[in-house]
Amino acid sequence: MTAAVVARELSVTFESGGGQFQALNAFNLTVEKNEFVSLIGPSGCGKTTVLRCIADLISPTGGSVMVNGIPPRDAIKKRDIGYVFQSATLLEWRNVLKNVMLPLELAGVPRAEALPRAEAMIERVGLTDFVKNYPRQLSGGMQQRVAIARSLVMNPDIILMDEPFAALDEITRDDMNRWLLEVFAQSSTTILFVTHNIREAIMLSDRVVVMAARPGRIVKEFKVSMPRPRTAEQTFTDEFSRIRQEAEEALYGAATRTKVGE
Amino acid sequence: MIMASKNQRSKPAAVWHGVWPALLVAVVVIGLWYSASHFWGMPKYILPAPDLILKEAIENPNSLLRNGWVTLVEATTGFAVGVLLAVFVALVLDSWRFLEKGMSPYLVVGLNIPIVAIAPAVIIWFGFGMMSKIVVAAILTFFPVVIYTLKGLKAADRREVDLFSVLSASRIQGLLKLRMPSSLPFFFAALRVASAASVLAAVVAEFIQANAGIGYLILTAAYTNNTPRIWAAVAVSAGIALLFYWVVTVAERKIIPWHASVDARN
Repeated sequence: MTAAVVARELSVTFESGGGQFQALNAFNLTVEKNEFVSLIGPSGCGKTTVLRCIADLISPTGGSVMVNGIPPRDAIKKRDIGYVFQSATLLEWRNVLKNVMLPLELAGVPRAEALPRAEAMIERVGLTDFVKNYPRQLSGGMQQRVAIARSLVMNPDIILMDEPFAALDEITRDDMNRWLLEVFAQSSTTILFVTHNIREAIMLSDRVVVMAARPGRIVKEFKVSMPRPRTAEQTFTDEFSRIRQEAEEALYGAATRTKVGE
Repeated sequence: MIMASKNQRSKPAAVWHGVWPALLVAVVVIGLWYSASHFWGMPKYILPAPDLILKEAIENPNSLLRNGWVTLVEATTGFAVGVLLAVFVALVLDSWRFLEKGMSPYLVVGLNIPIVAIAPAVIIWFGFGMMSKIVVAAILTFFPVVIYTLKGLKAADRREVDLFSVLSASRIQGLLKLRMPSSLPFFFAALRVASAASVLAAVVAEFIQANAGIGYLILTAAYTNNTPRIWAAVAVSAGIALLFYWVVTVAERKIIPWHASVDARN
């Protein structure tokens, strides 16, 4: 069985103001099918760059990425990849229903088939009462749920999520995490999730990958074997505390080492 | 719950609440104006009293209506031609970067052409009938609309462009479903500017040489020192410009109700 994502010796260098900035250096990662993997690290560690390479938004300077065994560009064309951005990125001239319909429309799915699919997805994110609302009339959490519904509506094999809940308050974020766990449990998708929140990463993931900056690279990996469905009580278990502590050490240790190295 | 309106007043009361300050200003200004000419000795040939202007309009409605109609037709036709041409040119330049680079400095020059400077030449080319006024109005409409529409076509958010790329949208889908909707607020801002400019263009062109129109009426009234008629004609031209503005505003409200600028005005 081919893995969902295989990144080999991935390197990305940006030109910036005459200098060069190495966003990613020899990054290796394999994400298995139906696995939930979190990338966590300080800003500038290249987490987003990894996602952008997988979604063919940038081309790596070195190494390679394969998605379901094919290059990212082909996977995008086959609509195998869903992407949730840091901001909801809803089109302000479309109401909730039409925003969720967008991927179907662009794929040429006939309206008669697209409409029930979009409606079912909106129901799944609990926004049936808001189908006619414009994005401006929704709270931040609701907007992000619409964005997630939009990324799910094509039934992609892999969903890339770039700090989707970073802009939300703590309470809403916990809500969204619980909700995302349910969605993940009901579908057979693979999720690669970028965050800088350790608690969120452990709660959601099968595997947490800790990255460091300058150059962006992996410093440590943790397997989270807490059983699913996950509940808030699990944050009080030994496993949770152990991973949290080790992840913090890796995270801040990496940050300090980077500083010393400069 | 999220849509709860901050204004819970009944509709007529809300309308009155929004309108009365403007009505008060009108009453005060007209009152001062009336007093100035009837009680404080302001000469009629400088500023005739408002009632004299109204009397002129009621006694000689034919010339006002006939000339007003001419200006309205000139401005409307010029506006329509200018907008259609501008949208077409904007789409062509947008899809052809080289041409856009070559043309954009001249578009800015065009935007800054003083209308009085070009009108005599246009009248020589197109005669002193309605055609020359339509052309001048079209020129004044064309430049703001083409420049703002071009700008609007590039106004799509970077993240939205990424979204369309991830969703594997074609070029034409990107144009129709992302870039054109993003350009609409810019387009309407330009229409607002152009709607006033097209009336101005028609009237000024009529000043230069014409045999009908509001500008023509004002000029002939000035020769005979008929100031009430001048002011009645000014009121008609202002009415035409306001009508234009109102039409654009209504269209904007219907077409882009989602945009923050529309919402803020409601």
